[in-house]
Amino acid sequence: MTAPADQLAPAASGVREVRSVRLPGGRREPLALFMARVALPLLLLVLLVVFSLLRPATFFTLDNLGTVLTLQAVLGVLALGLLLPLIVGELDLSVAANLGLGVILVTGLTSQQRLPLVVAIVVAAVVCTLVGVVNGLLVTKVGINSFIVTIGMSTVIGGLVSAYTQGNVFYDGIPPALVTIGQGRLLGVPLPVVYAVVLAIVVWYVLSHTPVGRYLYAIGGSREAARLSGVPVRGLTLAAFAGAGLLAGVAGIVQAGILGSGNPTVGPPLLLPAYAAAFLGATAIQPGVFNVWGTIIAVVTIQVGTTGLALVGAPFWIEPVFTGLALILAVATARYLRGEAL
Amino acid sequence: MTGDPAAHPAGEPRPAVAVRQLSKTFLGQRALRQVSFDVRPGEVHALLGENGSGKSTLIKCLAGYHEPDEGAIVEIDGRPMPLPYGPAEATAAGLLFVHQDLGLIPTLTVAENFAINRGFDTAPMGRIDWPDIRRRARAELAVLGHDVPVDRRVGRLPVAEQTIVAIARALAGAGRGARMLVLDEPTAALPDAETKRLLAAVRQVVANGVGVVYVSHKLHEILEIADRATVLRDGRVVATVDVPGMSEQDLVRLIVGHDLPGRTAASAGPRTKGGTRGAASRTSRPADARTGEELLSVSGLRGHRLRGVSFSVRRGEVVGIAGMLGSGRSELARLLFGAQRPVGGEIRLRGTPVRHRTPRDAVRDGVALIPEDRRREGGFLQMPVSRNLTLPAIRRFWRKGRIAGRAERSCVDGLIAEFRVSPAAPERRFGVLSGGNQQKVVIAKWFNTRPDLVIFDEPVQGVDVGAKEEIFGLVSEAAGRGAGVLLISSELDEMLGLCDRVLVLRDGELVADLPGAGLDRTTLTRLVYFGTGRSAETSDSASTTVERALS
Repeated sequence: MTAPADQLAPAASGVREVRSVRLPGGRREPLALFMARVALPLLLLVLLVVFSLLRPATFFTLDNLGTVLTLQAVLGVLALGLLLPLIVGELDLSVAANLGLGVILVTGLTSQQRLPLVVAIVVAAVVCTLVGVVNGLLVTKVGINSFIVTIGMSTVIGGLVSAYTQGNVFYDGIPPALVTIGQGRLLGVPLPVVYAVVLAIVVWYVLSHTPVGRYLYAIGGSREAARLSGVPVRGLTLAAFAGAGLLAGVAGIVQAGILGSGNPTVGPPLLLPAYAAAFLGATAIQPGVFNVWGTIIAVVTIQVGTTGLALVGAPFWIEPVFTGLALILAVATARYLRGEAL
Repeated sequence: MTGDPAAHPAGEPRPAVAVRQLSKTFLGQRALRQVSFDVRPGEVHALLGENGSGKSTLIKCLAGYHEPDEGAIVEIDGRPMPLPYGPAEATAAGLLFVHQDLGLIPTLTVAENFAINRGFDTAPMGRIDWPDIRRRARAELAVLGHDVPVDRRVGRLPVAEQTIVAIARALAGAGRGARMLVLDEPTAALPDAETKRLLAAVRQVVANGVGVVYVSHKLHEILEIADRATVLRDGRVVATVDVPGMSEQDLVRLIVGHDLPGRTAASAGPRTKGGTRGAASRTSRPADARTGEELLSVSGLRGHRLRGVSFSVRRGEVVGIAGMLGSGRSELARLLFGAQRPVGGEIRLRGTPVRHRTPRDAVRDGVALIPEDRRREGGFLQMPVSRNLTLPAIRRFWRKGRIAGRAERSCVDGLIAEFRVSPAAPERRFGVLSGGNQQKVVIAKWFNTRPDLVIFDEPVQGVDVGAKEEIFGLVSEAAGRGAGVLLISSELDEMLGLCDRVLVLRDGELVADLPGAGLDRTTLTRLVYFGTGRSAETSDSASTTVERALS
């Protein structure tokens, strides 16, 4: 959809100066804005403390922490990719299907076509990126609404994946190296967490410290004003979709390693959680703006919440209810604190 | 819909709507001063005046969008309206408004557009009664003598028919019968042939006893259709005159003011109000604009509207571009900035032919455009002022693999101080600044790219008087820095004071290229309106009418 980011994300408001807080570095900012900024991290902290007290033996252990984070590393990478189109004011609903495509390609090409793992990884990453490029071309050159383009693309990918797998799950012949990629550890830290952190730093660097990042946010702010400011709007919109495709592919490869199998159904259910993370993340750190660390904190908060609830014996259906409520409440709270209605 | 018989007593016709002593003050700024005028039933009453003369403020006060100052009186059929009132009360009282943006929904059919205003008629069981809706829409259009296909989508109709639909819909929505219909520039977007159909519809409206207030810059239309005209200047009523027997020149004299013909650029004097900056830079321009090297040369430039335009601009020169809306002036700006591709012709910058395919190319070539629509095209409403300021020049801060935050911040602080952006809060969102400060931010952001050619498109639109002076000061400062400046503006007085040369565009053609010094206001206005600066013979009787009205 071509809705600007300020419609997709809760917009920062004209804050009335009432009470303010002093930030490290001496700058002051309104108390309400500061509260909005830290609300989500605070919630994460509260959840950690509460569950640690309730289940001291199981919750706050390194093992459990590793499990919690590994589970969400794939979602984190997917959400990072999703941020790019969201920042330029476009939607990409094909990221989750694209992740599924990555899973199937890397497992299928190695187990069925007997290609070397490295080749399979490169092919998967390139194909997923190309999916993003096609999305981007349809949006920028043909001028189709991104919502429609990516819904269509998502459906097409689903069909092609079915054609390739014939409805089967690839179990046999998965190279052990792929499993290592997904299940190995580095200095005790699960590798998927390492990938997610490294990619988060890369995306954060691009968005916050390079001219390209400034341009991406400017496009989301106003396409026409960006164009008239000399920003290459079409090229960067295309690049945002390509980036989303690449990161979906990477997430797919990691997911394949974690599972050790090629299951065509793993992708699509991640779509809504990825969007939830991006929107929830836009309420924190830099309220009103899609941002990397907010998104990462959102992913972790949701996982800590749902795992903790499971450990204290909440029924299975609590998880989606918790996720949905957290999203709605966080956005509502951020709005309330900044004194602006939707 | 038909005139109330009580409104026509013997003798002097009682006005349908009478306005007395209406003033409006915005933040200490008088926009309207003691405006009084009346609209008789069944007359077309033109409301004339230049941009900024107070026409739209007056209309908004009548429509209930602005609250007039204490002491105003608005009477309808002799009965005073309780003030202040809102838009709904205005409609209920029979005060109707059709704005340039017609307020129709283009994707719905004509009949649906009528129904959406009035509520859908329903048949038993809550079903929408489509035959009835169509029938009523047809009947309401027939009042204007028009047979518009009611099942057609509004967006597919010619603009004149859309306007007629909007008028018919407004009339149909009037509570106790329409008393006054205000048409704000209804023909601005119309070709001549369609204008005739619209004027016929307007005649039909007045034949039904409604008073029409007609706002238009097209004076030949006024002469064709208006019975009387009220002229506003600087928020005051200058005159209310009978239109029949007048010439276009008479109207121009009223609009521009009789004291202006003697005034020229040379006698306009230095500007000091609102900042010495403007005055200082005006006088401190280093090189004489006549002797600067040629920066831009345009030959035979054609676009959708422009039909072969040629001119040149020197460094240090301010070249004004005057013309009515639709004359091609904004297109010229877009063509030079690469925001639109030319159909033909050549643009040379510093002697080399250039083809800017995108604004990005133009920016790299040292061209800057301060666009007309500040909020949509000039800046990023949701982004902080700091980000707005450095966007086009952000690559300059790219050092050692990252944006140098400290250098960027000091640049932002410097720009805010230098351009006197208020409040001096770099993290404030651009969208919450006042119009004048937004414009200063947009200008600062472009000056910071150190452009060679700066194009200002209506830089003071919607800007208060103080900031206006500062912004005009910045226009001449750009020239003082050695850039070539193109200034597109409807504020002819200001233009005369600033420009070394003035180009006049009319219907896509360059009709004049005149030195600013010695050019007087009346000549310029005539050029803009008629494409000729010579004053045609004025009928004696009409000109005495004008003299009387002015004294």
